[in-house]
Order: sequence, then C-alpha cells, then structure tokens
Amino acid sequence: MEGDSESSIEIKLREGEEVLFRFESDLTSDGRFGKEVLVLTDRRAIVFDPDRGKERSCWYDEIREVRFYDYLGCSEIEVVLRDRVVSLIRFSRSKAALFRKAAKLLEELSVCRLGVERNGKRVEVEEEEERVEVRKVLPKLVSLLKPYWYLCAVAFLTALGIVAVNLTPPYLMRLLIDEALEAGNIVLLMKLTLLLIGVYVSNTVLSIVNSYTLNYLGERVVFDLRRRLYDHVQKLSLSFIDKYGSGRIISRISDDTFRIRWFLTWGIQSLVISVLQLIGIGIIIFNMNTYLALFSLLPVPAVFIGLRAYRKKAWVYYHRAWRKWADVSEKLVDTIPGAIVVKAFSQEERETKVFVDRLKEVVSANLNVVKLNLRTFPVMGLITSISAVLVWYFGGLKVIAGEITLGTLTAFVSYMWQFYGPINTLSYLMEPLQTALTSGERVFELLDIDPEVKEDEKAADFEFKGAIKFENVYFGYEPCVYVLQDINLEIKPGEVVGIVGPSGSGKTTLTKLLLRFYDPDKGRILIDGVDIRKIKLSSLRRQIGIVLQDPVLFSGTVAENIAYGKPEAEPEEIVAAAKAAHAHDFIMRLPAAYDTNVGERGSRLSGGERQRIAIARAIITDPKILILDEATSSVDTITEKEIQAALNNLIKNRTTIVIAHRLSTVMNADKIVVVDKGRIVEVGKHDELLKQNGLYKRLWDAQFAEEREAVKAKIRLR
Amino acid sequence: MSLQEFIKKLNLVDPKKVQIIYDEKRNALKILVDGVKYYNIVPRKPFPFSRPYFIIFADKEGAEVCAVKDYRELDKDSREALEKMLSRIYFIPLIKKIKKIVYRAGEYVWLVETDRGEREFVARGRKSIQYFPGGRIIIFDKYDNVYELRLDKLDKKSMEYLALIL
Repeated sequence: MEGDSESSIEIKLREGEEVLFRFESDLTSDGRFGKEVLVLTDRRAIVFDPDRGKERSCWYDEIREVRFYDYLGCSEIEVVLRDRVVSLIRFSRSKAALFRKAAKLLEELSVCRLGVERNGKRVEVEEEEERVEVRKVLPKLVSLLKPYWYLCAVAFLTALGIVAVNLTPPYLMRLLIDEALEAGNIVLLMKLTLLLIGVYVSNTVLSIVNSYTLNYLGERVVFDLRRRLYDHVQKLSLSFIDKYGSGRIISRISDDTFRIRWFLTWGIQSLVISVLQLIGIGIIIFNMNTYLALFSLLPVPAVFIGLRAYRKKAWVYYHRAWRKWADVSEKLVDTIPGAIVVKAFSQEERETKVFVDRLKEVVSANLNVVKLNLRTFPVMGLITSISAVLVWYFGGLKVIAGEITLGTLTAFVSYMWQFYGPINTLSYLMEPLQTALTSGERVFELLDIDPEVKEDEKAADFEFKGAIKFENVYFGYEPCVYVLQDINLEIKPGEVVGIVGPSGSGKTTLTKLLLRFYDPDKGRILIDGVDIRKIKLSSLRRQIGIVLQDPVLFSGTVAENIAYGKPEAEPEEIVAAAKAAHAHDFIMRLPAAYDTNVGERGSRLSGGERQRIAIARAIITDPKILILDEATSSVDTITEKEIQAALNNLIKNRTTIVIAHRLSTVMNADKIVVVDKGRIVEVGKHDELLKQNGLYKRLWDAQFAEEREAVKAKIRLR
Repeated sequence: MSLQEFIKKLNLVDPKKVQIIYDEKRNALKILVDGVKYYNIVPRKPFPFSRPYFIIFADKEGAEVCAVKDYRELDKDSREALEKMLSRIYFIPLIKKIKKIVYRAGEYVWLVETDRGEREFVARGRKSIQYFPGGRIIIFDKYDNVYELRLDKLDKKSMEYLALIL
C-alpha cells in the first residue's frame, strides 16, 4: 500500500517512519465530494488532500480517544487529543464500513498501543465490492451442475435432438409437394406420411425426456444449494443475523435460489437452443435460396429491436401497475383492521376518497399496460406478415418462372416463421439472466461468510459447577463504540445475582457474551476457571438456560416446545418442568393439553403463558446456570407473581443471573450489580446499596415514587 | 430445585401397585395406591395424542394425586375401569374411510366413516391438521371436535381425497 500510488509519495514521512495502512475517503473536510487519504503510519495518523497538497497529522501518543459518528448521509472519525477534539476525516456512508475498520485500527495503534505485527506482511484492508462480477459468479454457478453432469448431458443432447427434429417437417413438406403429389407417387406419399408421424412422435418423446431431466436437475441443484445455505446460516454467529437482518437471509434462501434454478435449467437451455435454431434455420434457408433468404431477414432487426424496446417499457408499465395495486392493498390493510380509529375520528369520507383516488390510479396504470401491448404486438405482427407476403410474391414469381419448385417455396415460408421464435426468446432472456446472476452473487456472498464465533479444536466438555468470572471484559457491536467496558465480576456457584441499570446500559449484552453469541473484544470470561472459548459451544449452551423478555416459541405442540432443548425428554420430565414453571394448570385446560399446537410463534397463547412455557423449556435441561432476562417485565402484575413464584422454584441451587427493570424483582438477590453506560458502577446487597446513596438508590426512589403515584391514581379513580 | 425433585412431586407410581374401580354412584374412579384410597378421581391425559397411555389422576377439584406412565401395565380389571372412564372423557373417533372432501368458501367439508359412525364436519385448511409419529394424523374441526386418522389404515380412494388437503 505504501508508495503504491502517487498521493502517498508526496506525504513527507519522518526518518524511519513506516506507512502501515491507507484509506481513501470520498468527501473533503469542507464537505464537498472529493478525495482525502487517511494514512496510518507506525507513529501517527496523517490526513492528506492530494488535490490541494495539504496534510495534517496526529501523533498517536497525543490521542486519548477515537470516536466514530454516523450522521445523515455522511460519517466522521473524531479524535480526542490532550487539549482539544479534532475532526480527523469525513466520508459518505458508502465508505462507512471501510472507515470503521480504519477507526478500529487507529484506536488499537494509538489508545490501546497495540503494535501491528511486522512480519513483513501488512494487514490488507480492502473495500467490500458490491458490484456483480459476472466472470466470478458464472463459473461458480455452473460448478453447481458438476455433480449432475450426466443429467446436463442428457438435457443438452435431447435439446439438440428437438432442434434437429423441428427442422425436418418443412423439408419433408417440400418432398411431399414436389415429388409425391406432383409426380403422383403414392409409395413416397406413404413413406413421407410415416416419416412425418415418426418426427412428431420423436419430438414428443424428446420433449418429455428433456423437460423431466431439466426439472429434476433444477430441483436437485436448488435442494443442494438451499441445504448448504440453511446449514451455513445455522452455524453463523448471531452477529451475522443482526448485521444482515433475518428478512434478507430468508429471501436469499428462498427467492434467490429459485432464480438460480431457473437460470441453470431453463435459462441456459433456452439460450443454447435459440442460438442453435437460429444457426440451423439460417444455414437451411440460405442454402435453399439466398435471394429469398435476404427478404425474409428484412424484418428481423425491426422485430429484435422492437421486442427489446417493448420489454424495457413493459417492465416500467407492469411495475407501475403492481405498485399502484400495492398502494390499494396497503390502504385496505391499514384501514379495515384499524376501522375503530377511522370511525373514532370520523374520517370515513376522507378514507373513502383516498381509496377511490388510488383505485383510479390502478385503472389508469392497467390501461397503460393494455395500450402498450396494443402498440407493440399488432404492429410487430403486421411487419412479419407483410414480409411473409412479400416472400410469397417474389417466391411466387420464381415458381412461375420455373426457377424454384412450389415445394421449396412452401418449405421456405415455414422455416421463415420458425425464425421468429428464437428471436423472441433471445430478446426476452437477457434481463432474467442478469437477475439470476445477481442472485447467484448474493447466495455465494452468504456462503463465503465465516462464523465469527469459532469453536476451539481442543474445546472441553465438562459438567459445570456454576462459578462465573468476567475478567476485564470490553465489548462493542461496532468498533470503538464499547457497549461494555472494564467489566470485572465474580459469581459463586449457586449465587443469585441481579443486574440492574437504565435501559441500554449493557445488561443483556453481558449475558450474550456469557452464552458466546459474541466474543469479547478484550478480556475473558471464565466458567469454573475455564475460558469459555475453550469450552465446547454445545456444552456451554446446554448448561446455561435462558428465559428472554419476549420468548420465541416455534410452531408445534406445547410438549415439543418445552422439550426443544431435550427432544428425547420423558413425558414426566415435560410435565415436571411445566409444573416447575407454573404452566401445568393452564396447559391442562388447553383443548389437547400438552399436545395442543401453539400456532405460529406461539400466537395462540397469551404473553404470560408463552413466558411460562419458555421457563419450562429452560428448566427441562436442568441447567447449572440460569439467565432470566427481564423475564417478567412484559406481563401484568398477577401473572408476574405467578411467574415470580415459578422462578423462585428454579433458582434454588443454581447460579442465576436475573436482569430486571423492576428492582423489586431482585431485592432478595445475593448480590446486585448496577450497570451504567457499559460499566459496573455499584455492587452489593439491596440494603447496602440503598445506604450507598448512589445510582441504585436513585433508581429505587424513582420506581417507588412511580408506584405510589399509580396507587394514588387508582384511589382517585374509585 | 432440580428437575428430579419436581418429577418426585408428580408422584409417578408403578401401575402394578394401583387398583382402579369404576364408581357408578359418583361417576368417577376410586383408586387404591399403596394402600391409600382416593375417591372421586378423574383420569386426565396430558398428552392425548403423542403419549396416550400417560395418565394423571386428579380429584374433581383438580388436585393431582398421582400419575402412571403407561396404563397398559395395569391389571385387567383396573384397566377396563379406567378405559370406561376415559372413553367418556376423550371422544376421538377414528376415521376409517373418507367418502368425500369438498372445498367450500375457504373451508373443507369432510364426509367420513368412523369407528363411531358416519359424520360430516367442517375443518379449516392445513392448520387444523396435526401430525404425529407413525403416520397418525389428528384433525380438529371448526368447533374443536377431534378426529384421528391412521395413514397406514386408509384405502386408496380415501388417500386420494386426503392428498387434496395435505
């Protein structure tokens, strides 16, 4: 990187100073599009404006903190120096990912004083390319077909056969007219009839074989691909799903693979067949009569260009029609379920007017589609028909003059009509081919991602006693933005620890680190003295039970949901777990008790019921460590009491971490940890913390005041 | 508390140590467990489809007395008494033959022959059907009536009708 471009040559380096990294921004410090370069050397950060030849720099030992800000449309890296704060470099959001890496490196070099490995190699920092690289994707896509090469061969050969077979009928027709009919040759007539029947029969057989082979091939390939993708996604870290969003992942597994199937089967085949057909027919008609062939080719450019133009416009028109219809549906989905609001504010008339306006737009968009079709196809038909008529006329002249036979002319016209099929296909193929390549690129991008949390090869599997220790842990979802800092916490086996603090203070993140959904940036977490990175992931997660604030249940029966973490559980274990979770009674009242289907994501149960099933699910594996993350905050007070009773059942003899918003939930804990802005600010028992008069006392007073107000309000209402 | 302690609380007893008598007068069961008599007992199946032989015995107020894991291990008389009571509580006709399935306005109308006689019922689509291991299918109709179906015991024609839905 150093010295490899003109701009870095002009930076004046000190003696012995070495350039380590170089990042190009796309904004200048005065807020115009342009180029500035951030160079990280072994001693300082230099920002250089190559156009104006200006540079400014910060020495690493002056930097106290590196900050990264995302704004609207641009981002910025800011450094805090001893006596002032400096905006280091600005860039548009398209460069944000690259500069996050830069910020992380800068922080490591300056604030953390970490040396960069100097084994002659520098860490390459590359910008993520977002463009579809056809050359890279195409071979990868085709490689998916490799295991099924024999099917591909069958498909290709049958396709070739179909092309060949389709070319014969006009030729046979010529023989029929010229040699059988005119010469009155009955034997030849019979032979030709049988031959034609044979041609159509083989066409049918070949088509069936071809179509089945292609479909089978498509299903196999997409099955392999979807299985690979799903398996891969299951193994990826949670941070990946956070980053990508579950919707995008789902669409890659379902929609993108579908498009790839289309491309690998029908796409490639149509392309090959159409080109072969064009070549075949071209050779035949030019051999028959060059003069007439030239005539018949006249409308080809018009047809091809016309069709391409039509597709482009049609895309716009059809999409507009769909969008307009989507607007109508959106209004329906809004206002019919929300009818109570519409009526309460007496906005029925306005809503009807908006709806009618949108309907009118649908009508006009649909009519535009009709008009476009009418402008295109009849005209196209007319052009081709006229050219056919001209071929009849000029060909007819030649037949009369005795230069060609009637059979040749008839065959010629048949071939000519066959010519337009592949042209139509080719004009239509281009766009879906492009879409399929984009899909391929997205799928391979997903497959190329490595899980961030990796299992050590020598990872241990042992029974926990339940001692937990956080040692100097730092963690951030984004570089330089630490959600947790300097966390030191020791929990003894069987202890109940409450974690409290304002929302966003990092309470839940602590538990996510313990479950190794993420790895800390610095420091380590120990269970029974063993670094959790040295423990088998399955062992770790099996022995830690977790109940979340908004529990996720899967479609299936109550019993299946409870036994999710232990599918082989005995029925008495399921019932016992449900009893422990105070869920048994309501489950027995369900129509099919434990065999009742809970519906999609547990939709047939109330929040409190789902919560208690989640508790049963956590308890059935008999975990040594239990995490309750705001497990009672989303339910009413009576249910909370019920759940609280359930939880009290569970925490005996288990290391339990209770994250709570309501402080009353944790006041009996052995230890309460108060977290604020990612740091532990207070640790102690309830009474001790109240005496300390710190954040816990303030939180306690605030909640107490709230409850008192609520009680007063109730009294007044009565 | 560990899960084992909760399992102990369930009072899972050996079916061989349980004696069950059908008590006509109370329309309930009388059970004798390890020398202790309980009256007014109702059997309940926590897993009516997936583990139909697992029974919890409770009194009519719902207080649970004990449980057996597989009631087929009871002695013959006890088992008959229990089954007599169970058949009053759990009415799950077994579909022997599907005569017709018609799609009508978002619902399926089934005409079936069951082990309890012929019946027509209306069920919603696939969501009203639950699958269990061994080819057992449970169908809930609009009113939460339950029908059972065994794939291996259906004739060809019935399977064709079923394929319209599954």
